[in-house]
This record gives sequence, structure tokens and C-alpha cells, in this order.
Amino acid sequence: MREITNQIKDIARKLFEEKKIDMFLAWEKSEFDFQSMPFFARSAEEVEKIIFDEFSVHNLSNALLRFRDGKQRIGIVVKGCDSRGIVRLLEDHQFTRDRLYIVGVCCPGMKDPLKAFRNESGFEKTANADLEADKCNDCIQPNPVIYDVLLGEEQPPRMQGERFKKVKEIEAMTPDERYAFFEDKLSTCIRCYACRQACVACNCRTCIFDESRPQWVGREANTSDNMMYHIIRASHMTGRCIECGECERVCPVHIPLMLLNQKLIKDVDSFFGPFDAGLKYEEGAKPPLSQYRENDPDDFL
Amino acid sequence: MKVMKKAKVEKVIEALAKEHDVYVPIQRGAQTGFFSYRTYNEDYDDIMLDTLNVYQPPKSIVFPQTEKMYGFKSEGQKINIDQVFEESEPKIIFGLRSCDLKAIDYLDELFFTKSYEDEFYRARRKSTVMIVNACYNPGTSCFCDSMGVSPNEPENADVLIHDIGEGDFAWEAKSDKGEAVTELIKDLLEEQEATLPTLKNFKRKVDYEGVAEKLKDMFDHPMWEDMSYPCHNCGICTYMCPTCYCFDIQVKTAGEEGYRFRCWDSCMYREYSQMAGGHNPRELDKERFRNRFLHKLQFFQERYGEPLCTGCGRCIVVCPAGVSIIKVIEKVKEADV
Amino acid sequence: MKSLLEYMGIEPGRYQTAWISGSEGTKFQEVMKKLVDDVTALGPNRKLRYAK
Repeated sequence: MREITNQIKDIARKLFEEKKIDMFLAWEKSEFDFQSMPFFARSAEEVEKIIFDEFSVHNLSNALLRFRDGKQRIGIVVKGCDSRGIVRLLEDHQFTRDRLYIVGVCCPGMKDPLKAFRNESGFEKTANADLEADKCNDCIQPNPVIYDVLLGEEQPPRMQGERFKKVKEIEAMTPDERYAFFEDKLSTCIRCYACRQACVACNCRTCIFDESRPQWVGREANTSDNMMYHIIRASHMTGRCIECGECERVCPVHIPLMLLNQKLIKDVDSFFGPFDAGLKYEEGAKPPLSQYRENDPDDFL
Repeated sequence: MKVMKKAKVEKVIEALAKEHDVYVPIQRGAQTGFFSYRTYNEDYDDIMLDTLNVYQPPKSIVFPQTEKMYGFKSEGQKINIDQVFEESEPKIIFGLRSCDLKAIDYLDELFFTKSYEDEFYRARRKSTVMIVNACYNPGTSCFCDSMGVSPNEPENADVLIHDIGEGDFAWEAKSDKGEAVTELIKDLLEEQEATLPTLKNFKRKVDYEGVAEKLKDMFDHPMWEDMSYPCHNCGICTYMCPTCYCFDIQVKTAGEEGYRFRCWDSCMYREYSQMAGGHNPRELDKERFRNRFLHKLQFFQERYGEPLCTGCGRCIVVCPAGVSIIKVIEKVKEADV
Repeated sequence: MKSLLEYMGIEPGRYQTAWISGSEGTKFQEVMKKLVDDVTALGPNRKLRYAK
């Protein structure tokens, strides 16, 4: 990891010196060892703060949305999942490839700073012995799919066993059991919208949940409005979720959001597939929900 | 000194729960918060009087996330208000910490002073008894003493309990309300000698002195932009904060009937400052980020003489991007103006 | 959407989709009749409603 950090710094420094970029997105250390946080270097001097370690879990491609209207040329460090986010941004015309210099890092699996901090905090009775980010257990693409330079050794996917196993378990329940399961999970939602904000696929300029005329979803934090929020949020992720798992990681009340997202990934794959969002970038290629075919199944709507 | 033995803790809560809705810090699955003892389920729940604190602060008991205000019905041209929802059932918050109690003091300032009294808040607040669990072991993210809060000798507690080891608690009634609830359970307490623990050192310190004054000239300082970059502008920090109180008033109707309710809102959302004509004075992420800290560290201080932060450290722990209010305060101190 | 709603526990049949052209009046009538019959058979929906 230290070696990769040094390589990243060298690349970033060189890019700044050659005036090829205006900003470089990576991580820096905050107060605790486990606290890596997104860092936006704007000069060769600031590059010294950059680190890449086992807590560099955040999906930085989401931060690009902040600069989509600008002209800055940006260098960015991506892991496998983050790189799929970049492909999605390019496919959705949120960013142009020529503004980006992408440093890909083959990801050996990350640890979750939130988990580590929760252990330290005294706000919970039980400590998580293992700090491994849960999202990494379902990883199918640890190696970047789009990059200008690739660092580290290629890694095997960490997902063990059958894909969509948990989704299939839920599908096997009766409708009432399924409803009870989701009602229980979603009723605890506090509507902080962290899942939306952390998501790279959520790139609408005005979100449907921020609309007030008309107000599509009520603002009460009760079971009904919460479920409407999550049904709508999930369905908007259809064909766009790149399985980076940030939504579930950041959720302060631990709602298993990936169960919804993975169901839709599975459906898109079976209705229109084979398809996985953001696995390959081809200029001009369109994801299934951006095009119409006469034999598209009705049931998906 | 009166002592509540470990074996009696649940009995005390049960006895109090006969006439009160008692809120207890509970670990429920992956969540921790103050939940009503009526919903307590031995199989899933674990009472947390021995841990530092819980994630979800007790503010929702006196100021719920969603609260109905009044119901109405329309008949032709006329609208009749047929129900006013004031909640004044006797409640006890059992085992909250000083920082969270102080936060409720700030809510009192807000809802009771400056010439307006909020009746919905008053109904809940006046019927609530605070049983405070004195804090002797500050955690990694705690900095309450830096924000003027005493962790083990809080003001305004109705009852103060002290963990004296072995799971036993010393029990001190501090107010009339406190005396009244003590009366209800006096048979469960024992009289014995007890030495109170000593307060351990804080691992975190921050110097808030003069920050509010300095912030007056820092509205356009470049640090806000730098610091706001990692922030996602989600509402975790505001909803987990024991002091954040912003709310929105909205209405829900079905046919001829409907009700008006208020629900928490967050300055982190774009919709929060959206105006009817389409203009938004805080359009940028940076502006919303700045507003949160200015409100906490400057505006509230100017209006009420204290900062709107009690140093509980929740926002620092839960922030997905690692933003820390301590760092913000330190940056303000360091900044050249 | 249909698939997601069913996954979240809404009974199959409560949400239906169909393509009907503006000129297919008979088809519209048939689809609507089937929808009403299906939903009547399922009874009132209690899910996704607020009940504290």
C-alpha cells in the first residue's frame, strides 16, 4: 500500500508540474489511523498529503459530480467499483473523458472507517472484530475497468459462492413475509438521504424527493413515506447501480439497501441482459434502459 | 446515599413504567437509541447503561422527527379544525448523558424564550422527567467540557445517577420532579455508603474561546470551500445531532380531511432554503455546509449566549466522509482573517 | 417496477402494465375490467399505508 501511495504521489506531482490537471482526487489521513477521508489536492505541494491505504473505501467518482459544470481537468484515483462509477458518468454524459486522468488501483478489499470508528465510539455494545467493509464481500470487479495508468497487481473477485444469494432467499418468501421484512428494515429510516448523496448513479440535478411542486413523496418519517422513498430510489437505480455499496455503508441505521439494488441488477440482467452496469466503456454505447427495443418485456415497467 | 443495585435496575424501570412512558438507551439489533420500555423485547434488546452513549439522541422524545399538530375537515367553503394533537403523557428519559441533557436545555431556550412559547413542545417537555446518567469516562470523540458542559455534574437534571461499579448506581434526586419519581420506587433503593468515581481525562480538547466573534469576519473565507469538498451534503450529522432543531411544517390531505404536521428538516438539503419564487439563497454545497457551522458556532451564540454544540461527538463518528466539527473549530482558530 | 414491488411484498396483480394504443378501445376495456376484477379479488390494500 505504501508503494502504491508513493506511485500515486509521483503521478499526481508530475501531472501538476506538467500542468495537465487542476485538481487531484485521492485520500488523506484525518485524526485517527483508521480515518481516511476524501482529499482534493490542488497543487503539487498538497500532493504530499495524499495516502492510499486499506481504509480508502470511499467512492470518489461521486465527487466528480461537484465539478461537472466546470472546466477543471481532474486526476482521480479509482478502485474497481469506483471505475465503474466513472463509466456510468461518461455514459450519462455527466463528464467528458478528456477532462479526466484516471489512476486505477487494483483493489485488495477495503476496511470500513465507519466500522472502525463505531468500535471506538462507545455508542454500541458489540464491537465488530472484523473491519472489512461489508460491500467488498460481494465484489465482482476489484480491478479498474477504465484507466490511464494501472497500479498494483490484478486481484481475483472476492465474491464467494452464488451471486444474488440473499436476493434469492427473499424471493423464496411469501409476499406477506417479504413485506414484513422490508417494513421492519425500512421503518427505521431517518430520511437523512445519505444513500442518495453518496451514490454516483444519483446524478439528477433536481432530485424527485426535493421537488415540492408537486411533492411526490411525503416528508413524514413513517413507514409509508419511508417505503415510498426507498421504492422510488431503488427503481431509479435500475440499470445504473454499479454495486459500489456506498449507500449501505453510509446508512446510519443499517438498512440493507443492496438487497434492493441487487434485485434490480438481477432483473435487468435477466430481462435485458446479460448486463452489468459500468463494466465496460464503449463510446456511444447505451445501457438497456436508455434504449427501446420492441421485444422489451412489459413486466419490467 | 441511595443506591440502585444492579439486580434492581430493571425492576426500577418496570416500576416507573407503570405511570410513565419510560425511554431507555437500548441496543436493538444494529441500532442504538432511546426506545420506549413498552417496546422492550428481551430477545432482541440490550439495555445500555454501561456504555458511553447511544447513536440516536433523546431529542426525538421531546421533539419527534414527525409530529402531528392539528387535524381539519372541510365542509363546503368552511374549514374546521377538529383535533389538536398535544402529547402530554408523563414520560421519563432514563439514563441520558449530560451532553444530551444540555442539548434539551438549548431546545428549551429555543422553544420557550424570545417571546414565543411553542405549545406542542411545551406539552411534551413539561411532562418529561430527566434521569441523567453521570459520565466519568469520556469517549474518543467526546469534547463536552470544551463546549461548557459538565459531564458528571449537569445542571437541570431531575435525578442524577452515578455508576459506582459492579453495575450499581448511586441515586440522587435533584428537583421536585425527581423527588416525585424517587418516591415511586423508594422501596427498590437501598441506603448505603458509596464513593463516586473520579472523572477521567478528556482525550479531545478544543478551544472554542472567541470563535463566534472571529467567525463574523469569515463568511467569505476560502476555508469553507476546501472543507466542504468531502461533505456529501447528506443529513446524517443534523439528524443525529442532539441539538439540531430545524423543522418544516407541511400538510397531508385525503379527500375532505387532512392534518398539518411538522417534521425535522436539515440545512444540508437544497430544498431547505428553496423559496417559493424559485430563488435559493444557499444553492451551493459550500454555502449549506458553511451555514451548518455558522449556526452552531456563531448565530446561536449571538442569540442565546451559548454555542449550539454540546460536544457529544456523534456527528464526528457517523459522518461518512470524515468531516469533524473539532477540525472546523481548529481551522477557524488558525485562520488568517 | 412490477418486479420490485412484488419483491417488496406487494401482491402480484395489484400493479399491472400494458401497452394500449389510442385506437385499441376494446383492448383498453378488457384490460381495465381484468385489473378491476384482479384488485377486487385481492381486497383493500393495507400495505404501504401509514398505520402506527
